[in-house]
Amino acid sequence: MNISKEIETSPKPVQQRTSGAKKRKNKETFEAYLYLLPSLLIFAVFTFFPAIFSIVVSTFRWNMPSPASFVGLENYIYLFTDAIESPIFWKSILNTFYFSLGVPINLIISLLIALLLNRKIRGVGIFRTTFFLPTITSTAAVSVVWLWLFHPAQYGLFNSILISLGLPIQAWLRDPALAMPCLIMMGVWSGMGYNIIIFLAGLQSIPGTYYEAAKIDGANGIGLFKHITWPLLGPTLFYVLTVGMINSLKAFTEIDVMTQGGPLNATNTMAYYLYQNAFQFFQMGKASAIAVLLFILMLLLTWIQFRFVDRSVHYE
Amino acid sequence: MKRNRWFFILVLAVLLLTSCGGSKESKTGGGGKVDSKGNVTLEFWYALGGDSGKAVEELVKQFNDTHPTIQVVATYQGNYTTAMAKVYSAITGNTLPNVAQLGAAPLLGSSGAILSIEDFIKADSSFDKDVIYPAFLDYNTAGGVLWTAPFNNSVPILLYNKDLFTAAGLDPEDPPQNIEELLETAKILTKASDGSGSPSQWGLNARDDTHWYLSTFFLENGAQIVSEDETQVLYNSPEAVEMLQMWSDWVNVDKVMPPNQHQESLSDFLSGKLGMLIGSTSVVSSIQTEASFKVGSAMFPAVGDVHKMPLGGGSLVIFKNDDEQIRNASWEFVKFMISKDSSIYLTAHTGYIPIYKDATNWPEIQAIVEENPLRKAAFDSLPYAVAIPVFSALGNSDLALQNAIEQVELGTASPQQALDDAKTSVDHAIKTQFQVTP
Amino acid sequence: MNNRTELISASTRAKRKMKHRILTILSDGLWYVVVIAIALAVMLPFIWMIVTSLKGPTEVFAYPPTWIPKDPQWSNYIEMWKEAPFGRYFLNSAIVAIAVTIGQLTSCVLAAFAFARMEFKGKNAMFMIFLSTTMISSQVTLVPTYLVMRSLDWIDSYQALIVPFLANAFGVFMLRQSFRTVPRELEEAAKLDGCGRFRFLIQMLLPLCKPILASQALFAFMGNWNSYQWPLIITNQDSMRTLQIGLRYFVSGEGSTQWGVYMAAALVVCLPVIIIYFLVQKTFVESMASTGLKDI
Repeated sequence: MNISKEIETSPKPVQQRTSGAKKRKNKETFEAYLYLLPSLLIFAVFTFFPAIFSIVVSTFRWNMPSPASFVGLENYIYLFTDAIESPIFWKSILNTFYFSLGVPINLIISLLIALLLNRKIRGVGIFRTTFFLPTITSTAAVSVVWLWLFHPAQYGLFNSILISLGLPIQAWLRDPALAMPCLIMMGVWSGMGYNIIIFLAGLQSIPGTYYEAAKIDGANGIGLFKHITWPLLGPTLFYVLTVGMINSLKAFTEIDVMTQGGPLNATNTMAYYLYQNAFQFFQMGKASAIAVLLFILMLLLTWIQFRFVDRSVHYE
Repeated sequence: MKRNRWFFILVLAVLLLTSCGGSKESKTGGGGKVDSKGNVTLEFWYALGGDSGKAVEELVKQFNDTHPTIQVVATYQGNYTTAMAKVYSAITGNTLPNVAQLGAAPLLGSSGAILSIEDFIKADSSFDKDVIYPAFLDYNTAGGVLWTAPFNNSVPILLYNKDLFTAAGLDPEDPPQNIEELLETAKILTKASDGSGSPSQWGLNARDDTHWYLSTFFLENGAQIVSEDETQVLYNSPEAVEMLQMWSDWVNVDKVMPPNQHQESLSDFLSGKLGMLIGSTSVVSSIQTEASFKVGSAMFPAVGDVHKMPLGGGSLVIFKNDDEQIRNASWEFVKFMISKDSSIYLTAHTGYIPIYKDATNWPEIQAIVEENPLRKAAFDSLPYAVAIPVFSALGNSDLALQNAIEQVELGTASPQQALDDAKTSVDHAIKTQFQVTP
Repeated sequence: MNNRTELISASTRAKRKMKHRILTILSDGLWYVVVIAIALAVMLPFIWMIVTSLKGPTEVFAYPPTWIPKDPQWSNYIEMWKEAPFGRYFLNSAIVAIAVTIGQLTSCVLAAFAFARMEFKGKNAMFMIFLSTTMISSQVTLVPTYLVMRSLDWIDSYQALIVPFLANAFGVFMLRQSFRTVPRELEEAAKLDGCGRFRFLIQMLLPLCKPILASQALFAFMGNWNSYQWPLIITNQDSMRTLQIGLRYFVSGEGSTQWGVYMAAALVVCLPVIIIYFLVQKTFVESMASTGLKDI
């Protein structure tokens, strides 16, 4: 997060302008690019070229295996206005934002748990390990497990718990109203560990003397949180929020394993709709148009993040 | 700024290089290898999991054991939808296998990627296609051409839990024959639960290929599915709407079927929480081994007294290949897979039905029915089996129908509205999306 | 603070101490109750996965569900290897994850070295270019990258699973930061001893930066082991599938009823990463906290 700042502070070359030094610098430049070459090659072929090519493909009608033909902005217009297509596309945009609601929920829960864990007490390490376990476990495997937890019959674990509480059973992932909340719930569960670790690091970087000083001034627990923890943790919070939002835009595995975008497109996000168009319907042009729109959305979020980081220099 | 100009030149050069690579037109090569000794290795994709998948693997093994110069490598590609997606992607990616077992395979005829089985049959005097049941040949024909070979075929069927029938005071040997009896029985089998708000036992459910079962009801009620000129689908005829209304009532009015839980229907049935399951004959064998109760089977319920079952299941396709040796080996393999012996093996080890006209007279087939009475319903259905005309846009028609069912079950659309939408969507696809490659 | 406590008499101090201790025990006790409850809730899916993985086909569907399998079916763990080539999936995942880890680390070390230790024309521009790659997500490049693979005839190959991941800008930034902390004097001294730049990197710099290298390797390995979308798209043959994709096809098979075996398979798929995590969790958590990175 502090990368952009460092460019300016990177050591400036010492002012030697003799021809010998120049020659040496040329040689060093050549050598430096040799070091950069492997990374640059990979980036060129697998990042920059595809990014540009994506824009190009998005202006073609390309329904494989038929050949491609140039159609200008037709794919975009089609996505936004076609009588059959556009309701699904709009829904996928809404779903994308709906799914990212999990991020703030995740933040609140993680922060509460981090506050709880931020003390020197026997066994705290074990709990930290426990909370982090879902984060490192493969999403595909975890999704299979949750698919089973959410089984809509009585013998599904969650339903059997509901029954024992005297509540009506639910269809969970098969119910269009509940499917997305279910995915969010699993997302919170699996993403929490990461946020807790970051928050704990943030909390522990706040000098203990601040709290002691405030206690002497008679501040209570809530006051401490409001006047010390919250403002000092703010930048971390915002960082985690934006990174989390960007990541939630990319969510794919859990949707593919658990709902395939259904029921009735209730969990069809832009990322999943892109995949469906490209690799199930083979409409590469339309899929690329969705990719470009998704990219714009991500750039927007990244821009917000960088702007904020610029203003929060004091934190470093 | 000047100093990084050369870098951009470098990047551009790389971009150009890769894009040149990208525009290279794909040859019709496909997979498969011939080594220096003339031994052929074929790639074969299949779309059957579970016990059926094991039977396919066993047949491949038998072929490999008896054909020393041909080696077939089989890969499971997921269900029909996933496997077809993989084939589409392979057509564009030029990574096709040599032979594949797929659902709705004749659709590939218009892709230009496959060779017609008819041509192979014409060139091979040792094979007589007249011994095959005509409906199976229809099922593999598109645009008048026999594109693919019938392999594993099934018809829709009704399965039921005999123990639950007995417990509810029903005669386990007298399953429902038509839609009225079906609903009556389902009502008796549905049991309210101890306050969980949802029945602890459901009367009826269908497997997740719901479009197939709805299409069966369409046909039995006299609805036509595709127009004569094959330019549009006729989902929203009154006969069709009536059937979806009936289906919707099962869920929303009679409450004998859980809404939108077709993916779980088989596990519900196996766990004894479901009285009757509308499914495919293909699962009969595995159900028998997994269920801890007595399973019964019956012909798909009639509408009035009309039985008419659209065939389901998969076919074998041979993909284009430049190498004649590979093409011949592919046909050799397909011929083996649809031979009498293989057909008997597949029938014995899966729920599929034999493709030969006189199969029901073969002692091996009669022995299968005798040993396993569950299989009888499938063979009884054979005279009523028909093939729905297949043409290229039908690729997404399954999804459109499934979507309509999902909508009415979840109450977001009326049957008329849902079928109107499905028709619009499929007709739209016929018009705009699928251009037949010359 | 000292002044205040000194004012309090010995007896009240003792009383207060007593009261304080009781309060501490009470609040600690409450803390443990709350935290253990949350921890159990978090562990629930794992517990249920293990419990189910030992159940037979009938007990899986029993209602009410059992928490201790009546007749533990260890055979589920054997069955999965028979029903799908998990051995092959395992091998593929290992080959790909290890190759990516080594390759990515190499390219990152080289680039980071140039950024941290060398002066060259266009350095800032280069840095911006590296930075910009972090904004282009894999979703955006999915279709074109697939098309590139297709034109290279790389579909269903190890190259396709490995090569696109051989560069990582985040890794470059992390290593660069770490390389810069090594004092310049060391490099000057090495130069005087006739030690070239590359040798300095290999023989002196890398050994000094072992911890960050280890954590970068860990991120690369885990990220790749768990990756899903790209291997899903780029592999067709069973023999090329990785564990995650193998698991997906295994579970989506006909009927989806063998939950005992599915859970056994799910456990086996995530076990390697869990084991590695327990072995190195300290380094892992620390580097995660300091770098603030997740998506690698």
